[in-house]
Amino acid sequence: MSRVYLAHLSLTDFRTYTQVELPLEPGVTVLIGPNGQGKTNLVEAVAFLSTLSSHRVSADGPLLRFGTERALIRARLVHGGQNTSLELEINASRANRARINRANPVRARDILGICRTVLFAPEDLALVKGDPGNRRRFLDELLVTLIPRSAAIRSDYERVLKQRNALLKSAKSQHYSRAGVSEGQQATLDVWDQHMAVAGAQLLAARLELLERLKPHLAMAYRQLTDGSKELKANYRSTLEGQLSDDGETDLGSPDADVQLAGLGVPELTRRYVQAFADSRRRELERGLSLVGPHRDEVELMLGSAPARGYASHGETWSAALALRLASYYVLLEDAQMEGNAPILILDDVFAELDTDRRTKLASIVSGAEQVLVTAAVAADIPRELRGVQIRVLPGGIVSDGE
Amino acid sequence: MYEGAVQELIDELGRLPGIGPKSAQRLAFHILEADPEDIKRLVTALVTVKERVKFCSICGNVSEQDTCIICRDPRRDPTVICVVEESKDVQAVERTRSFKGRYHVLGGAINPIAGVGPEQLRIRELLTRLNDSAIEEIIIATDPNLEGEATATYLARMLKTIGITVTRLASGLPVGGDLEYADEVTLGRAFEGRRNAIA
Repeated sequence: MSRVYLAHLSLTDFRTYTQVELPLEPGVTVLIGPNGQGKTNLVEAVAFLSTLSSHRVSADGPLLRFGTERALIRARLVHGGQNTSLELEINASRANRARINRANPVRARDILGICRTVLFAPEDLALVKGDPGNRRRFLDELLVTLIPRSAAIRSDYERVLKQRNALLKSAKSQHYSRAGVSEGQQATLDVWDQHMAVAGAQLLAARLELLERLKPHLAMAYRQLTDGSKELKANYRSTLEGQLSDDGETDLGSPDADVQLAGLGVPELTRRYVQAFADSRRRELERGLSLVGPHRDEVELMLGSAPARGYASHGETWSAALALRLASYYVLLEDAQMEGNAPILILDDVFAELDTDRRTKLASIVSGAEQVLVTAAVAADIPRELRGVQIRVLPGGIVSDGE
Repeated sequence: MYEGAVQELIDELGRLPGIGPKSAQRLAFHILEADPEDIKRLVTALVTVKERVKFCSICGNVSEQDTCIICRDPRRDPTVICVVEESKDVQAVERTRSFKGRYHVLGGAINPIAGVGPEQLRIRELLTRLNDSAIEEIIIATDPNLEGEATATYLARMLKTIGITVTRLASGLPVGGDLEYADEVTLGRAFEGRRNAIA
């Protein structure tokens, strides 16, 4: 497997930085500095190159230095001895653009999959404790990192969903009027049902396939991080098979129903969605929104026999969150056997939050990665296993300390 | 901000599609400096187009008379109708010079977010035209995007029962293009729509 690492990062008008240059080496790099100096901004930029989204904000606006119209992230990747230069332009008022190896600008989406990262952050606790949207996003983002073209599947689905919701919302008022929903509206709904079934089935199939790949790694990562007394499992709960109520409560259903769904294939899933939409037409008109579809599915995390959400202790929640990230790292690593595209690990401020035992275990797992970027407020938080190049992050700039 | 008339002109120009504030300003100053005769011709053209141009009562295309040139042309094949979203699409298909039938302009595509449903499109007019038994084929040439595809699906479902041939334009690789530069969706569609190479 060829080596992949980030050799240079350059930011212009990104977050607090007017301009900053950060040369990097393979192996472990620790960014140390007091809070609020910009450590996270640096690793956030690396992760943004990989996923085109930030772990801290949902819109791109806050990524631009306050008052500027455009931010630039430039990176040089070394990939099996060859250099790849990436340049991503984040624009306030138009679409983001990217340039690969100084060629003509292309859509930002085209750089997905070139620089792969797995980011660990304190926000990851929401993967376990938070609402299902967090877990869906986790799965979808990993999907895009693994198979960049699935970004199109995801955005197609989002667009159909928006249109269908707009239609349901306008039909809702008719539904409650004396005349009822017109035949024309019903026929239009049939059309959007059809299109949403096609888009939804593709997204569902991709998610299910990915989750099957994740499952063994997830169990293993959780065992590595803990004493192994409990097992962490993930089950996909689909609105398609009625395993979830309209309010997202898990209804009864066999826990391995997702395995059966995964075996169906896109044409059969499409057929089932069409049927499910027809069955829920009345409820959807009453609520004025789409109740069935991948946008309301849940990835249920089970710790032993209890759901992790609500039942796990703080420590267990951390272990489960780390296990999800580690599992995605293992899936990407497995994929890299063929593609030669090992992911860069980013650990943003996580060690301060962990107890000594988890720190040591996590450190010894990640220290074997091709490249690891770690941020911490104080050097004492960094376990011995991860002592590498240390870089001080000071207001507006950086200082390399060497070994 | 400029004073009075200049700012008013900039505001009006800025309301046109594809014209931002900077372009509006440039156009306004171009108009200020231009020959008054040129501007008079522009004004006349603007007024005339609003007064004289109507929409064809048959197909919905732009026309200066009750029916458009294409609908009036007896050499046109009366058995085929090509359904498009906008009048500009008629011009696009006309440039191919390979379609000899007539058109039907819907006036948009189904787009619930923008509040456009089938009732807002000229679909009822299309059905009325189909009472004419001469029509044998409908070619659906809506845009190959989500809204255009939804409109195509809607039309196809509605026309299924009428018993005439309904076709949809093919999607696929651009002519003279490079396979390696095609995006996955387009290439995927091209695979689905492949045809027998042995004539």
